[in-house]
Amino acid sequence: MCVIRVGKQVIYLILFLNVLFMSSYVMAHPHVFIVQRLKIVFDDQGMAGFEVEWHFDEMFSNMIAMDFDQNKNSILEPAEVLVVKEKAFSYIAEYDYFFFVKINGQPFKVKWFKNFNAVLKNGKLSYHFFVPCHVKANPSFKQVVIATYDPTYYTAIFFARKQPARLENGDGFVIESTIKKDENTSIYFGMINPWALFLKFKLKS
Amino acid sequence: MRIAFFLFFVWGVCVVIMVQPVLAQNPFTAKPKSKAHHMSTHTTAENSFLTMVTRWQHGLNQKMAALVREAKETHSLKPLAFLVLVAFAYGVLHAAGPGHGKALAVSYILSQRPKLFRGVFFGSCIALFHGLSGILFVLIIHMILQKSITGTLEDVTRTTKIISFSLIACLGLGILIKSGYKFIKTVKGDQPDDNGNHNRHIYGPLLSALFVGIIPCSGVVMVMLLALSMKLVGLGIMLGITISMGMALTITCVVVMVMSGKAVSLVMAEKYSRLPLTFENLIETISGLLIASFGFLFLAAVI
Repeated sequence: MCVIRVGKQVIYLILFLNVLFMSSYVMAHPHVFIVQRLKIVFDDQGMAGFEVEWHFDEMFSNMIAMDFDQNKNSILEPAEVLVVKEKAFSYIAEYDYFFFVKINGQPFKVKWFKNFNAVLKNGKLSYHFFVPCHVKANPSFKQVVIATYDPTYYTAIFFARKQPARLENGDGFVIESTIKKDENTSIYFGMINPWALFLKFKLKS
Repeated sequence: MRIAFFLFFVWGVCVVIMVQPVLAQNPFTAKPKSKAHHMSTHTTAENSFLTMVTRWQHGLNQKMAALVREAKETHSLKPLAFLVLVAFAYGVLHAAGPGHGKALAVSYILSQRPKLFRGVFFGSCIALFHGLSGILFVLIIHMILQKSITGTLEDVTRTTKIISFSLIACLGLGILIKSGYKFIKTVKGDQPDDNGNHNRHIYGPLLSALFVGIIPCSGVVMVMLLALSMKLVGLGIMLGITISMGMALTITCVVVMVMSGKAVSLVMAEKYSRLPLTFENLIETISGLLIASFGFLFLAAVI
């Protein structure tokens, strides 16, 4: 009986300490969900950058539509897209647009983007933009790792299950790519390895 | 004393860790207050629980949106039962993260000696106020004032945070002073005023829960907005309340587990004559210190 009592107490104590930790570090707290597709674009020299498609969940889409689809026609016109860009996209510049790129192991800071567009279709919002990231190809392989995450974890970003990444104009290069967890990077206080696109390419001999 | 130092260390770590995520705001629609520190380069084991919970939340979020749409299009009550279940599950998972007052609730419960019912009541009230605040926010801002949600949500959240954290800091200071006084008395060997009275109650659980839960829950706000966009105000309110009930379950579980842990720790210390009382007063003093620290730290971060 005594053994049982002590056993229970120890279990409760472990649970207690566990909860103390849990209450501080469990961060399953995203409010916005994005499914993303990337298109890696090559030019004559090597990699030119990547096109991004972000498909938002219906609830966030609805919130943006309520505020920025001024004429309530369920379509975002160019003038409305400009407002969306200013009021619901440009702020994430502070977080490098959620892109954390490493070229041969060295961080590449994402500061710019081009061709931003926001599309509202069937009540679902998507952002489309291009991130310039020039990496010249050599006869030997170069590696580019593209991880996407929101450092505040307000947003959860997943790669799409179907066609998560594509290549454009890659015929002149030997290219290997895979999407997997980046074991060398940890986020959210060391709790998660983000998923990333690993790309290796070199000139065709 | 070693245990006390260990607990103090654990809670200290919690305070530091808690500050950043709990203050997360919508990064798309609000200017960040400070630059985020985001990339670390050490390897770590993946937290599959966290990944799984996030994916479940995403799935439930999608399901909820689809069911609201179905309810609107079919004018049927059929999807509602399932919708309520999904909303409840969403609330349970949603409150598993920071920003829902759990750490404060834990510290507050540790600083008091509530009975089980009062602990459950306190945990539930935090979640319900958090959800109701979201519902009221949408009703007032969107339906009555007809203002934009995204910018206003950030402003209102900031204002309520300032109010909430100020009140929490004051509450913590009050508990700290009272418990500190009792702790010093027991260490000196004086008889405490309450003489170990086990009927010492949690002070104003409703008001304390209101302090913590006043900040509108963004999850509830988004669900409400979706329902409103389809002119389903009643359904939106019902879903908001259901999500709050789900959150209440999570927060209450945390509170009950902490209460059990505290009770067990005191039972284990019972074999030493004065230790339980000293230990309990020490826990209460540290908890008061933590509540005040949370309040001031969060307040400083918001301002």
